[in-house]
Amino acid sequence: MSNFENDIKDFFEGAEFQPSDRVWKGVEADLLAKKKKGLIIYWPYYSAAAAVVLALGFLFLFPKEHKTADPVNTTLPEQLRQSPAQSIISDNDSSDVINNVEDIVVDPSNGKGSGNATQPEGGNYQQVLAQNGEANEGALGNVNNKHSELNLAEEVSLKEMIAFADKGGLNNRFEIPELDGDISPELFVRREVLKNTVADNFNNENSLFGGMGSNVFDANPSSGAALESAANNTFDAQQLASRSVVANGSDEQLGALSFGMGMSFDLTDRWFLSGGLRYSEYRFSNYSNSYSEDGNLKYPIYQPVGFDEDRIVFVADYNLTNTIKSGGLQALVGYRVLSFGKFDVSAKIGVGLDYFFSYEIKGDLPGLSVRKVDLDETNFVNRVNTSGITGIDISYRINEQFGINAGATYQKFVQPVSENEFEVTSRPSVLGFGLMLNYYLGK
Amino acid sequence: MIEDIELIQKCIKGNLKAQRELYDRYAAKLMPMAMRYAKSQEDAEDILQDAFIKIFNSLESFRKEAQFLTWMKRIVINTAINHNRKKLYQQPMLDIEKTPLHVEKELVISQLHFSELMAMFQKLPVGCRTVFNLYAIEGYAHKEIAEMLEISEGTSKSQFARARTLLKQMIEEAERVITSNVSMS
Repeated sequence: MSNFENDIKDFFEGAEFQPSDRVWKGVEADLLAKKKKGLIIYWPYYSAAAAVVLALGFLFLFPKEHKTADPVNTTLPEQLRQSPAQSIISDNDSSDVINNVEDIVVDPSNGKGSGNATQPEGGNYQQVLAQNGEANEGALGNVNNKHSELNLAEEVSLKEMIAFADKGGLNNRFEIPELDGDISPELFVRREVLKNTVADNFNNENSLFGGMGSNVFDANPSSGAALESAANNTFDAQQLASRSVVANGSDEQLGALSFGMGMSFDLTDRWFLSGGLRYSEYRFSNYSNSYSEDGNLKYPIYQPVGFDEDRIVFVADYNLTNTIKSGGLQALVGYRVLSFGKFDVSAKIGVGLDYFFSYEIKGDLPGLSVRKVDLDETNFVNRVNTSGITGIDISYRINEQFGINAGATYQKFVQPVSENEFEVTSRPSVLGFGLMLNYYLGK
Repeated sequence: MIEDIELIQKCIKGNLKAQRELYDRYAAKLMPMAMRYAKSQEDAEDILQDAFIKIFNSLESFRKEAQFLTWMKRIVINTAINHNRKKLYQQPMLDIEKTPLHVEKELVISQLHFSELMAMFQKLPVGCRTVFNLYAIEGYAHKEIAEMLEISEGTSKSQFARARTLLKQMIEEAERVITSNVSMS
């Protein structure tokens, strides 16, 4: 190559010339068009996924009501439902309580229709039911409604039914009336009597009554039932009364905290589909009147998850904090309600799948250890739980790819529907607060 | 400033901000190349625009061990050839058997302004301009140019010779104007 060619080559070496803005505008338009085209190609898949998420979300959050017979109204005779204990609780007057304890529990001539004066009376619900049932044959009509399992048409008395019912059969069947949303009247009375009683060596005395059935995690105050455990399964009410009742109150939500990371994909300018992984802690509280001792360790008692009955110490009521830790997946469809700068406010609805990996019970009493519940050993809580989720988020866009979401969520867990119409089908709901690191796909 | 590789990764993910940054980093370097193959600045911008679209669409095929600027230049060249191909077919390049011999004379190209020399390039017939660029500046052999442009090697050589002659004439003319301007002043 001659000097001429080399000179020309050198002349252009390292030369720069700024093109006009229209070049970038053309490039940008093409890039954006390709993105849009990509969206259009995948839109049917994303929109189908969004429709499924949306439908499941609504289904889980607003399910068709499962018609479960009200165990209280269908199994308890009218006399029991209108027993003096109700007025005691309604009045909430402790002095009246003590007076009426004798009426209900001790004095066989209290005029409440006991047909068996020789039999000691007491707080055993089975016995109370039997006595009332026996003395008020007419009232048994109240029991024989279409939802009841008690088939009086076969001329089996209520007392006999109860006497032959096994423990499992009794679970969830005889609910204690929830009067003030806190505790049952019977429980209230006995707790007053038995406070500060120490009971040792309760071998074979762990028959449990209560509203918590198998696989029912019921941390919802609106549907939570008072819990109790009669520490004896005999009909000897006097003996029962002299012993004790382990009691827990209704659950009360403390809420949930969660954080995690996820990704979202814009379906339109407003609608988006998001999914992610989340760590959550669900907390609910109640109280206990007792603890169990295991060697030198003392554990709070929350009876739905079982307790060591060998040595139970009854104390004054103390608070329990239940913490369930969970890892979960969630899929949500969102709608941007507001956008200002880098901030968006969005409403979301969708579904979640939680794996509960830890459950701890902490008692607010000096010297108590934290009770770690083996979730494989209890039927109180399922390990895997589905839920409907809705909520409002505020998101901050850090850059094109990442953003932070903070928001309040309402999560309603789904429990399997049972064929047993008397089984409690609890659907715990949780209000919570969450933080998520979000990755924006296709942006 | 982030490295090219990092910027490329972001561009591959469709990050528009990164794409803009990459464009800003290299557009001015690639524009003169597009101008050498074009008949006007507007034409050159069309070539550059198409080239950048191809660059962004082909980033995933870029190998890290290669020179990124060299890789982009090759895309600009191919885009320019494709851009000119229609014109090349419309104005078929023929062997120019008797290219008049031009007396070699030392030309001082450095005295020319960028836009002056570019204007000379743009005045060249499209075939001559393309072959001259490929051979004299890009360094391709006539055989390679012949394959690229689907012409014979002889045609490539004669088109190059023709381009060289025309360019020299234009440069000499420009030098005469410069010299007369200097003497007048």
